[in-house]
Amino acid sequence: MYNILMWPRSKILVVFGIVYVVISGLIYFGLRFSLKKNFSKDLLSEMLLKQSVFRETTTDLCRYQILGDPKEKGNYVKLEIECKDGKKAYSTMSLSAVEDKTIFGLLTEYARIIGFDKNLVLTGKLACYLDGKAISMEMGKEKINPMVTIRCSEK
Amino acid sequence: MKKKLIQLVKLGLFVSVLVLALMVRKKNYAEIPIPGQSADEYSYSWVGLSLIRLGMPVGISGIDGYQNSLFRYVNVDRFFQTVSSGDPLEINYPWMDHPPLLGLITGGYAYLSGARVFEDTTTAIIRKPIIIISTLSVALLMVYCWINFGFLTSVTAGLLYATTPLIVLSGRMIQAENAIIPCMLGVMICLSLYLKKRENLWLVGAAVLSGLSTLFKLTGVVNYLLVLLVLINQHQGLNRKFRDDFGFFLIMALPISFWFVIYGGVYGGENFKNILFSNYNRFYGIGPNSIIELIRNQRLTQHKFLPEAAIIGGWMVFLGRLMKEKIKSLGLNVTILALLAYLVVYILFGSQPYGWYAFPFWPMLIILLAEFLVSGFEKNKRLVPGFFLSVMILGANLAGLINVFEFQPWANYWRIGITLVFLLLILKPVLRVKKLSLSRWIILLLIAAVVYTNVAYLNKINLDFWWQNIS
Repeated sequence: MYNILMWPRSKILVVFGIVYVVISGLIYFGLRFSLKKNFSKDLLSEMLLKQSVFRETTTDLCRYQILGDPKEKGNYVKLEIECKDGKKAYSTMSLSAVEDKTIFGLLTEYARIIGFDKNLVLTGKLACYLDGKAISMEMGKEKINPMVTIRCSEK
Repeated sequence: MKKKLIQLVKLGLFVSVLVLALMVRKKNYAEIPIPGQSADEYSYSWVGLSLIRLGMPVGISGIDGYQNSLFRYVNVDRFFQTVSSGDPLEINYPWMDHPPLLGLITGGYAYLSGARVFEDTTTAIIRKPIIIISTLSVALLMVYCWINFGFLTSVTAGLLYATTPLIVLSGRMIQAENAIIPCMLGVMICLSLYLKKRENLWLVGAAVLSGLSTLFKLTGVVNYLLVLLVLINQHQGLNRKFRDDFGFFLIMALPISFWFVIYGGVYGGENFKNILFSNYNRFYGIGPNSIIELIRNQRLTQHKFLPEAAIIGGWMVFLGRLMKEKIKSLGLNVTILALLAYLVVYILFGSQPYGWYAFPFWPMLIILLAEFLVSGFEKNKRLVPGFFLSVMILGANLAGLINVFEFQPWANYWRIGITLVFLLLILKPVLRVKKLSLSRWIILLLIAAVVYTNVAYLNKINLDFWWQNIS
């Protein structure tokens, strides 16, 4: 009876060699082709920063906060949100993880991480203060300095 | 007819153990271990997903040598709201910390499930393939035991490996070790069959699996070492037979491992080389006390411990076996050499004391434990150590299930019960009782009780239990 398990080694090596060359070629040229065709920094940014369809958005701005403090010294912004029901949320965000380093850029990024509507910030439905100074629409477009504290409260 | 019926019953039991293994792994799989306690789980999946969508592996690293680094808050499973340390994630590309095969499995599955961005890769999605892989490990472990030690050892080892809580929880984590385990067991099966039947294709199987295991993580090289040690052991030295077999093995295994180099070459040889060397120079956090730590502390992650008496029992059997000068059983030889091979890899490749580095020891330890218990039980030998080991594991399980105050009404039954059985077993030769089936039944019952308490303990583990009881 013909038994594949008993194939002589020379025959096995020939078959293996052919299969190996084909798979190696597919890996090398397939990856090069895919890299050339698909890679773009925009798509990378989308994959990193787009909010998941599986994650719910929240209207309770004090339900979630970013836990802990970044280890990197001197490059963070503290955020305090005060909600209508008196609850508060405290977060510390590393500036190195924020692409748009304006005040609104940081608040928009915070809205994305927590999962609330960024328009609450951009349309002024939240009253925000940077180190005690009210943030106007003009001021929101300014570059944010590290180690400041932003306090927002629901109107 | 009777033989066929017995085979059918055996097959039914085999499948039942696998169903049990799958069920206990599946329960609360997305919640326990807590998502985000090991960010590697996401990183592996992101590597696969980004390879599919971008043609570029993107993952979390933090080791030196990367050309492209980004810090980002990717709030998958809301882990910045649950277990975060406060630091954003360091994203690197092209990610070369490890080969991409595990990422392609979990990330590929996530892609097929509709995930398109990193935040979509929730544990509810990405842990599903790893649960299948760890159930496959149970099946392979049982096949290995069946081939080498018989059906009863196969079922016992399968039940212990399927239900031991730490092993179940570890089997839900996306760590390359969980993919190396089935490769290792597959290599052990192939080697056993090759050495028994001398059919070349089993050696090919061992070579292909050894090559593939290095595409999960470079510690998959353990399989090369395992084959080397087993062939030296079985051919009694570095003779011609050994050279023929090992040479044939290497001709096929090495080119498969070389696929990682081809892959690395696509994304720039310099980057690949830098990361490889950077990986080599990782902080040796396991320290000089790594071996006693391995035996004393069973970790799930770096900071989560779940002491497991079955694993400690396995270490005890392993050390006992090492004291014996000559072991005739092929299965025992292969298992012990597999354990020693991984011990070498653990010591050489060790970095931080992450729990998953120890995962590949556990199937071997459970095999050794089950073989010790069952072969003693079958031959009516070693009943005292068998009883000691079973009571040790059962006692630890009971302590996990009920606290010491709840145990008080049962304390006297426990004290008197184990003393009586112990005396019975000790006095057996003195009383000149040649066959004492009662003592064998006691050990069998104890093993059944261990499995039952394992499942009962697993049923207790939910989020509250995790935070309150698992340190």
